[in-house]
Amino acid sequence: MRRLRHFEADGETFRVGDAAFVVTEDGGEYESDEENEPCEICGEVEKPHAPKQALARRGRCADRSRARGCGEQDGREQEGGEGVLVPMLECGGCLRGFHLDCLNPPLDDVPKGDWLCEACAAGNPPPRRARALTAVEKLLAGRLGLARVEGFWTRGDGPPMVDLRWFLRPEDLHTGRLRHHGAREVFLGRGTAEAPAECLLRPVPVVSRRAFAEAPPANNDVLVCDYLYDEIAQVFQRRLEDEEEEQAADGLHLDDYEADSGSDALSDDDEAFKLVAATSLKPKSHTMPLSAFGFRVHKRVRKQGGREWTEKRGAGQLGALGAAEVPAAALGGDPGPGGLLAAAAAALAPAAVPRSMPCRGAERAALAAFLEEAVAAGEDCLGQCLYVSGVPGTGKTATALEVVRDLRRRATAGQLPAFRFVELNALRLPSPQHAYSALLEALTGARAGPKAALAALEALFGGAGAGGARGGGGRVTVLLVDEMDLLVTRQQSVLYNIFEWSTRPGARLAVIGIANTLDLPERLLPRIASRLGGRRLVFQPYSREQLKEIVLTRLADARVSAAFNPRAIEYAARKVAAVSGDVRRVLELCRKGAEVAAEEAAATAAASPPAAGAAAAPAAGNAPLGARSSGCVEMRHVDAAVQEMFSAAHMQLLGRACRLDKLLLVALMLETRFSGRAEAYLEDVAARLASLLAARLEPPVAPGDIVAAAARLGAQRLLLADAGGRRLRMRVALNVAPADVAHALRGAAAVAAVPWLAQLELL
Amino acid sequence: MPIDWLKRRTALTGEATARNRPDDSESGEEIGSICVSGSSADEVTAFTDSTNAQSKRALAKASPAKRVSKAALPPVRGAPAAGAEAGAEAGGAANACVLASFAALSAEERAAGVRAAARFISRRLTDPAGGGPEEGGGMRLRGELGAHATALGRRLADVAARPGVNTSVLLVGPRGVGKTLVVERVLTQLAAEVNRDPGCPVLGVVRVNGGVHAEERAAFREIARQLCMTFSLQYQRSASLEDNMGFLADMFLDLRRGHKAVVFVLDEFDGFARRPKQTLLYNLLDALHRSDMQSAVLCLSVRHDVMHMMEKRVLSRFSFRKALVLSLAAELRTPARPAPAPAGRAWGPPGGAFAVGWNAALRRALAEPALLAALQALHDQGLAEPRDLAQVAQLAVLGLAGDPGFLRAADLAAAVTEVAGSQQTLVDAVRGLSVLELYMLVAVVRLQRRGGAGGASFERAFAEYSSLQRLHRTADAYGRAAALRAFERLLGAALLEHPGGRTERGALREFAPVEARAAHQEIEAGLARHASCPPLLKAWLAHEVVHQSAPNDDD
Repeated sequence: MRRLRHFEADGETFRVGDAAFVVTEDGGEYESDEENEPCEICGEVEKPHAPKQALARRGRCADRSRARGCGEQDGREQEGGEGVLVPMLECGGCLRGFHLDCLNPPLDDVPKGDWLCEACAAGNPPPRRARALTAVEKLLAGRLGLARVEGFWTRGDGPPMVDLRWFLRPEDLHTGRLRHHGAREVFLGRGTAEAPAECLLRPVPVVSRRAFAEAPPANNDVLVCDYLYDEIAQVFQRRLEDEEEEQAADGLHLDDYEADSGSDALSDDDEAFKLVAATSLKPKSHTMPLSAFGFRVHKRVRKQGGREWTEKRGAGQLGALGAAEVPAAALGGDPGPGGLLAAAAAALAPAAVPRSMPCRGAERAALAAFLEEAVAAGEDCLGQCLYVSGVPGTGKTATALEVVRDLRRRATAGQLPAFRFVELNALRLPSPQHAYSALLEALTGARAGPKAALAALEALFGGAGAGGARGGGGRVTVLLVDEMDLLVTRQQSVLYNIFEWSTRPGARLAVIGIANTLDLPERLLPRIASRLGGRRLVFQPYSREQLKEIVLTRLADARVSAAFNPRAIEYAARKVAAVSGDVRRVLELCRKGAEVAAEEAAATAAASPPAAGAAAAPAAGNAPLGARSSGCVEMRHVDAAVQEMFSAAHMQLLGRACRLDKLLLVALMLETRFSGRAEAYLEDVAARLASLLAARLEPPVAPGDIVAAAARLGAQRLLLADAGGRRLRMRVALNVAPADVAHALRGAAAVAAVPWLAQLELL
Repeated sequence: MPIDWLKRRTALTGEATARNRPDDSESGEEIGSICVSGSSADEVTAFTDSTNAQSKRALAKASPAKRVSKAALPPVRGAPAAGAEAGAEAGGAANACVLASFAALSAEERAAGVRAAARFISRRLTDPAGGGPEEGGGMRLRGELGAHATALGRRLADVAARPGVNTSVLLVGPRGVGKTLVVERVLTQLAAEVNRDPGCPVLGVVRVNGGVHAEERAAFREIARQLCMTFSLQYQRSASLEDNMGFLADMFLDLRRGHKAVVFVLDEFDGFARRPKQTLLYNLLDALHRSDMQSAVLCLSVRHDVMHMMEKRVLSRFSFRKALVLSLAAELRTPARPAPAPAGRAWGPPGGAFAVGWNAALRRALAEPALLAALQALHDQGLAEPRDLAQVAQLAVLGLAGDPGFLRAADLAAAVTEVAGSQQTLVDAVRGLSVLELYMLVAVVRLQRRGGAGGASFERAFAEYSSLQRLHRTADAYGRAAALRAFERLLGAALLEHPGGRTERGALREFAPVEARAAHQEIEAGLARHASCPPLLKAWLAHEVVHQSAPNDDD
């Protein structure tokens, strides 16, 4: 049996991983379909423009998200010239096309979001067509199939066969077609089939909903798939976007390694390392001799959780991990109740990293220059190491990943030679030595313990200078080591080995190390420092203007700039820049401010429902124009957030301390003042307390209670105290500023409890 | 505030009438009856027939329903008569008639009611977060806790509903004040709302404790175990740390795909934050930051400065949201009405007349000034956290007798005294010593007080004790072997300790230096409360030299 990577027929090339239309048995006679549909009104497919109009992109409405009536323009417009066509708008309900000009009244621009034709808006069912025109419509009518190609193979001299995994239409789900299902939405199921490869019609791009909304493609053939569906368990699973990128990039490094020529079952075309069985979802166990390195490649088996995963994207049973229904909030980016403020809070979430980090242009350029040089050097890549440092929250890892993503895109486009990228994070490893295992697994897919991995890596990176060329292909490996200071061990062998390998001629390893301390290389052993070289990149903490710009950019990207008063952002940026310059802090502060403002708005809306009129209830849901009371985040909201996030807890705790605790603190302060030392023995403090109480004719306190009170305050760390077992021989010292204690002891509650406190001189 | 807390937690909320039992249907009118289950019916019978064991068994074999129906309540007809007897004021009449109706219950009903009440209230006190709506889970939280719970509930509801909203919160407050209670309440409520399908939960909760799972290996294993249990995966105990870390990373991906939400509750957070390499915290918080996972990390701690213990990388990823949960305020406000609950069921609170009487008696007891003063003193001492008040209530309720059957101020005051004295452990220990041990202890204290080189040791203490006995010729003169045994018992009871830690091997234990751990006042107090402490001993403790002419009563 031979496995093929691609298949050509009728001028179309199908690759593994593509989605394709499949001619099914119940499709009836296959007729050629038209790629583009004509307009319903004028009957023409293309209609030329009057030259004066600007051309908006030919847009399509994606799905049934709620119409946003804010009427914002689509910012990406180009100047039209002659010969450009009138855009055609597609109805979200019936998929019929209408020219913008042909509509009554004619539209100038593609409306944002959903658009329904008159019939669908009125709720009428779409008129039946005489025949389904386009392939997509045939698919939706059930006369054409859609499947993902899992692999091609041929046995002996037989015809090439293809392994397919079916896509499902919403009608095929257990819920049927629901309101929120888009017209072009399909679901990737678990059912598979084998078929002769001639049944494939043509490849179809199947993209995620977000990609579809951002960049609608030019032709008619596009489908949206966001979820996997398990027919047996009847649950859904999301397809995540970053996974898809990795999926694309995974294919890059697989053809580096030659298969063992001894096994004749495999040929050059085979994907030697992709040992996936596509015909069934049970994993096959395969071990392959890796004679270049003397190791066997085992499939990665996850030992916890009871399922065996064969690929990274795993295809196990979904079971309890699938969603029984897609939650409403996840559809169409609906920010939920609270409208603008909630959308602003979502835009400021830490995970919503923008595609391109603002205010890091110089650092990005430096990183890009380093990596381009390393990657372009190819065979001559030698000793390329860069050390990146900066306090937490300055965007080091994010910038590095962004640069790598950009380079990958260019490599796929052919502008740069292909390269491998491995990311290691020292805090995600159980121990520093496991860095070897992680590196080996990322490079070859082999799992081994630290010692074996070290030996394998030594062989891989050309221990004697000769072996490196075999694993070649000339690809450079870029290694990103995050939190590098935690890989420092006593003999520092891990870091030494990594940097040593990068200086070997055949290894082609470029290393970027990221840590917080500026002078980490100097503090390491000199031999490592010399290998690390002099290339440093320092990420300075953000300044006030940069923080402000970052927040404004985030808000602008999500188009919710109106939610914040710029002075509030300025205040937040000042506050954070004065302390740390940490971008996470300012984002969290603004997010909390938005929440405070939203709560205030909800409270005022609840307090005055009749004043708002009859539209109060639905308006509370989407009131983006609520500028009447506080639809905007003001400085006072950010101030409230600052109070919560930056205030110290000890003042309130001191205020609420019980009477005995307060007396103990007083006695301690007097004792330390009179003895001149910072700490005191509890027995001395107890003696002083006894004298205080005796002087005011109050009953004495038992020693057990004093010990318990000291232990209680010590547990809260208002005092620093020894273990309570030492009883009166504990040493105690104040852990909060004496001025704070004095202030708390002058408070109303304290004076009410202990009236004579006011007369004492505590400071 | 402590009064308010006590009142709400010990009131029976069965003001509504209980259901009728089928045997009384012929009477046709509302009978306030006590709801007794089969087992408490047995208890009823056992209570009435405490003397005769045989008849107890015979009665237990008889059908419980019939037995109880014989003891059915007469309808509350005694009220007007009692009212006529009682007196003028309406309030007084109401009280009196309530108490009269309570008194109209026969002894069996009262006993049964008392037992049911004790059981119900104990359960409510020991498990304030769980149980059904009638039990702890339905009690209203006090004002501050309620505010925290609302805010936290809102945040977590957001997390469970929408992807991309994740949060981390730190709750700080003294011990026993209600932090875990707030978290558990909020999570129970949210889970009830969100997890509709038991096979496919939408919200999962993972609880780890910094005292138990401080070490990374244990923490990751526990997290893996709880995740596997919640989402029906197969858990393998033999997975290594690397496997569990990989599992957690994979699970984050899976949870994102399936629109699931997970809440991590880290109790005793300072146990995690104290470590120099905070892998678990970094992995959890970094996962929140890197992806749009629907997850929340709730950290509970007693130390108010625990945020500064976190590593700078972890601290940068932590949102600085804090919730400060404070102790009960000192002022006593007017108590609120307890919320009405449905009629009593088999294991629920007793309903009907018993509940009415109970609540009225409770209100009266809690208005007495002596009890209020005792509670105030408890609060001043710092032992008035909700956990300690729960202990007070528990002690009071468990000490109930069948007659009269409701809580009195004296019961509550006794419980308060017991809790207040709970810190006097060494005094109690001294109180329980034998006379020879007391002599040895006092000898050590005298030697310590005198100072001098070498400190106290068994030899010197025995010499001291012998000299006293020679001087006074009391009846408490014992030999060296007995004295050594007494000394060892004092060491074992931790009233004496070796100051430097353990003694070196080979050093004769009679010569090893010892120190007394109890303070002078504590020993004095212990001697004062001792049942049979000779006055000579007290004098010996108080003065350096005791003359022979001091009166010594040898009994």
